[in-house]
Amino acid sequence: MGTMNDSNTLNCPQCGMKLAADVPGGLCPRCVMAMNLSPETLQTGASHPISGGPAQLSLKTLQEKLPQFEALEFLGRGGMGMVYKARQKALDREVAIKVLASEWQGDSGFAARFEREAKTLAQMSHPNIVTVHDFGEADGFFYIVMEYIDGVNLRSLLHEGKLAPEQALAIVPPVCAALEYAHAKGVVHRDIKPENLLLDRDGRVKIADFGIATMVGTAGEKSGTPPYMAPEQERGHADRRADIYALGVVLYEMLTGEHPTTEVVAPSQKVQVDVKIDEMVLRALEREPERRYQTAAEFRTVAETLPRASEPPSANAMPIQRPINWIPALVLWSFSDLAFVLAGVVGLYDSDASSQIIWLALPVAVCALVLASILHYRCWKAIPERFRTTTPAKAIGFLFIPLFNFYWAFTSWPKLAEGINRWREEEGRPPRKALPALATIYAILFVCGWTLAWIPECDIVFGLADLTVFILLYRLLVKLINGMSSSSAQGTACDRL
Amino acid sequence: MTGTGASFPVTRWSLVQVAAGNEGGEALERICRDYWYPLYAFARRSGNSPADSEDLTQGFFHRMLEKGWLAHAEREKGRLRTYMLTAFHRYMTKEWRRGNAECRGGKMERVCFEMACGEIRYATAHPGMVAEALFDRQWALELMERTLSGLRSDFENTGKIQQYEVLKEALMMPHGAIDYSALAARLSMSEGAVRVAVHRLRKRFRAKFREEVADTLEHDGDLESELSYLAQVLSR
Repeated sequence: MGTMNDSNTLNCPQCGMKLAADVPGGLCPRCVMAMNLSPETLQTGASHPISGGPAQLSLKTLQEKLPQFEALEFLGRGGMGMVYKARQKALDREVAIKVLASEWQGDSGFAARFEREAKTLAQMSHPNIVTVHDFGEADGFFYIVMEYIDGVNLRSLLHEGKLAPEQALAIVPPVCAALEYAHAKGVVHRDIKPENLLLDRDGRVKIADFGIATMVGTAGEKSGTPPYMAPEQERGHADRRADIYALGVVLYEMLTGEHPTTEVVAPSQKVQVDVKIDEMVLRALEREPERRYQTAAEFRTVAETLPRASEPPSANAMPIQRPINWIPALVLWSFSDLAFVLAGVVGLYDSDASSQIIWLALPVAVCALVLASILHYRCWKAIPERFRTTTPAKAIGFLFIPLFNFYWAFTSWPKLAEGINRWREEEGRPPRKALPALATIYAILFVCGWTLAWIPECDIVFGLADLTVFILLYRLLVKLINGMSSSSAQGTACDRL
Repeated sequence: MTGTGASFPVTRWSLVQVAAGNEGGEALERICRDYWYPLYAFARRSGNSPADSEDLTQGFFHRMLEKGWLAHAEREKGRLRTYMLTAFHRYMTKEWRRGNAECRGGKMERVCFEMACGEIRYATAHPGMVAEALFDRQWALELMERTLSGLRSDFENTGKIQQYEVLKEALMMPHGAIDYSALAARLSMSEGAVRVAVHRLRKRFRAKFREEVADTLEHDGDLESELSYLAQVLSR
């Protein structure tokens, strides 16, 4: 099997990582991968990941080059350079030092660009951006001293798989806030990706490597990391909307665990998320920058309003439900019920005239049915989500299943009644026993009415009974719901369907 | 394990298909030899004792052969890595429910691979890594191992084994950090020749690794994403 080393405590001479006994060929897998295959940030102007990889300093060399720091640990390798953990001796604080890859040193414009960018970065002060403490050049190596974040990057979180939608959405607003701040200063990140989003131990999100992409590539040149690069960025134009695209890709990856393909498949088709999240993600991923969110602030607002909708309603978050007006439905419903009664009465003597009346009344009946459905839907929508037993889509779908639709219609009202009573109980109000009773009676009438409508006597009886119970039931429903939503401190989840 | 790359023109997935058939004995043995350790490490990290892990791994391959699981391999996922882990996980859960440790390894004919070194290897396995991540890591290491031993045997066949032993270190070094003159002195070659040799070695490594990975995939389209996943796994 694997080539065994005699000692189990070998360290990689390159990155300092401890090597296990079974590393292939006695080589450090991390370094071999990084040197040969790792998908990294593109080198300026190059269309392939850096093949040679950035030259690496051992901790000892770093210590020699930067004596004011105590080099502690090699943290990782990015396309732009190596990151080390160090202690700033004078201030006794932990810092992260990024040593930029030596490739850039040959570039004559680099030193000036580095200084210009670093100055801009040093002026940025935002809780969601990794602070730059210092920068400089030592012995041909350009380095940046940054705040050390004790935590993980989003990439390591994603290794465990995709995130819960709430978690994923929670990451967007702080990142947008930071982007908003930076964009206002005219700084575009150009390389937003999970590796650059750090989460500290308190769960705060911080963006790392701001401006590094700009630093290593003059404007107009291509730099970024392929799956996160906006289409226009690949063509060499990147403004703040490229950052929004990249964040869209990150969000997509957090939700689905995958990168979006050219034809973006909505996240809800891959995992169970709200369609509103689809809208948000797809908008950020628009290929045309003009069709994306134009500012990070806009993206942030959308992301912030979404998760609230899935939380339990709270007093100030939920708008008060508009009172339900049931009179239009009642008027039309009465017309149609009375037309049935009339048809039933006439039908006792003349069945032809009876069917003529039914035909004439049919449009009214259809309108009545639509209004009654809307009324029913509004009642359903007015009760908090946790007391609902179905969705409108299901309700409509079920009506097309023979026999089951009768069962469905039969249980629809009692379930609504039950939901309202449970809601009342939770609010500390007594449940209304009349409500489920009326609902059940109405359900029976509804089912019987539809099955026995061909008998004239039944038309008369059911028409009258239906109208009576309809009035009693909806009067009570509307009264209870309007009473609950206006006086209840809880409000309703009415902004979420 | 040497030269598997050369002797296997078929994809690993087709290997699985062969193994699933009637004359699958040898093919299955190969699969066992190549993949037992990642599974063993997974079982260990999931909290099983060394003996149980060995039984589970043995039992898994045995059951695979006996029940013809491979014949029903869910190919739609397209990745042998995912398939093996899922199947093994399912098997482990089932075994755990039955709780019959004695049936697992006891009566069956043992598939022959050197499990004795399992614990030695496991002793240095990444501590604190969850079982699934450890499996993926070991999987990636197996692929790298296969790549390197393939390279090694190529050098061996052309009588340049010493060159390989010296140059392989260059695989993990950035261009700028390679001391070509020192390497040239060690190999009594010119510096220019060493540069070329290193360049070729890198190129061959890349090509061979891609080949190895492609062999575990059903769809070529998955290659880039699998490669980047493996690179991520190994960068930890």
